[in-house]
Amino acid sequence: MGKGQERSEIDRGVALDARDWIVRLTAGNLSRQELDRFHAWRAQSPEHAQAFAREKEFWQLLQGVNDGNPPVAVPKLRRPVNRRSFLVGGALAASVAAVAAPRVITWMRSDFATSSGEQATTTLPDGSTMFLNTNSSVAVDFQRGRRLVNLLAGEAEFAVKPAAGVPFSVSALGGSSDADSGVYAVRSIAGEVTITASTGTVSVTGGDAGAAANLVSLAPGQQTRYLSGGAPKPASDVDLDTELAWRTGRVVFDARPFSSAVAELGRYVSERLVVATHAHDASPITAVFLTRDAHAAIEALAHTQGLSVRRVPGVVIVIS
Amino acid sequence: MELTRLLQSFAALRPRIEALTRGRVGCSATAEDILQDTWIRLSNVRHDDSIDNHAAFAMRAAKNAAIGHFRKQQRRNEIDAEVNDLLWQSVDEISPERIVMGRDMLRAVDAALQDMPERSRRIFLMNRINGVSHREIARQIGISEEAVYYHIRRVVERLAELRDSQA
Repeated sequence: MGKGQERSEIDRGVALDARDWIVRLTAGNLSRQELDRFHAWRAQSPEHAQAFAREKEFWQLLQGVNDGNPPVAVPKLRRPVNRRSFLVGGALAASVAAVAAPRVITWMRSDFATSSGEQATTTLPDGSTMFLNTNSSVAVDFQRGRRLVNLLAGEAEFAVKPAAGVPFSVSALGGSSDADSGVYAVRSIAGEVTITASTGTVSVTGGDAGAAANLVSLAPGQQTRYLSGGAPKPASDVDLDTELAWRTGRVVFDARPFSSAVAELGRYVSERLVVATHAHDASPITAVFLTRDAHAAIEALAHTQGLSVRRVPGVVIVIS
Repeated sequence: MELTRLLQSFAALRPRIEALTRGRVGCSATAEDILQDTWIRLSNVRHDDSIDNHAAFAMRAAKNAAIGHFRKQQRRNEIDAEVNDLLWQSVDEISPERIVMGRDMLRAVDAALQDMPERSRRIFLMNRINGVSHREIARQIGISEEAVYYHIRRVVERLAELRDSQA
């Protein structure tokens, strides 16, 4: 028993240190010296690296905790991973990978899904990152010479790591959005697919792939849409902060029709939404809500229109 | 205290230096800080008799301070980017079933969080959910950064204990 107990004491100490580092790393003003000390600490042994990975994962998962606050207007949230860091992070990410393990593109096929109100970030086998929004599911098909993600439903943002000659493809409802590098979001809701480019160029094809008119090229800050099996519409400029507000746990409505706003919030709850017909001519909504508490948001939205909300938890929400 | 000739030159040129610095850094609050910094540096210059063009010297000091600011900013950005990668880019093998916390676990975590002292809970949520830095939390609540660290650490320890007990 002596040896085992000693062992677990050491593990406990390492776990404590790992949590200490998590809290220091997230403090927001770490110095270069401290960062160097962290690297040295983590490099001591595989156990140290493992302990850090475990506590890091736990810290990530704590995103889901409930802070008990009602939604407030225009909250100032810092996104967990901002787009700038993806850009700046290109070279850095490579160096991190070199420290951890040589990354090989391995054959991999798996599914990821989030349920109502959940969001999740995951790293794909090639080092690209996928950020899944609520109620979304994807199938990933990575092989040598192929990087394919099939968006089955919902919404996801991809930060694509360049890989020589291997385009990154996201397919949804019979169309495909391809990029060599950059950051873009794809959303497939109610039979319509929307693609928004943040950085890099995205080629969107849909309908009859042979026809030149069925290819749309998106520059950063542009968006296109296509219906299931249809050709993409011409690219248009959009406000990325509004379009990608979900990345920071917000949903932004700028003069959005009431029914459309409610439907959008409905993606973040598990209940089915029923809106009475007389509620449809309500005035447009301009507001910011936190997706974390979509129930309160729906309620607030309904009240602005003088409507009442009845909810059977887990089953249905009736707005009338 | 009598102003040195250098500081007199700086004071006389201040509107112009301020406009130039604001143009360089694109933010009047930052420009204000840089000017303050320049003033302190200039006031530490001994024997300003040896400087033959006080105006040019003051202008150059402001310019150097602006460049210094950019360097510092860039270092800060690099550190932030690296920390972001460390915390959010998982280099470990993917485990799809573990990317979302189980409902039961989340409920237990929520409950444990509710049982924490109000101040610890609030500080933890400000940092973890709203991404507010320790320094900013310390400023808002009026406690030291060490105390902020302590409160967050306390919550993290409690939640980790809960996790380990359920494993």
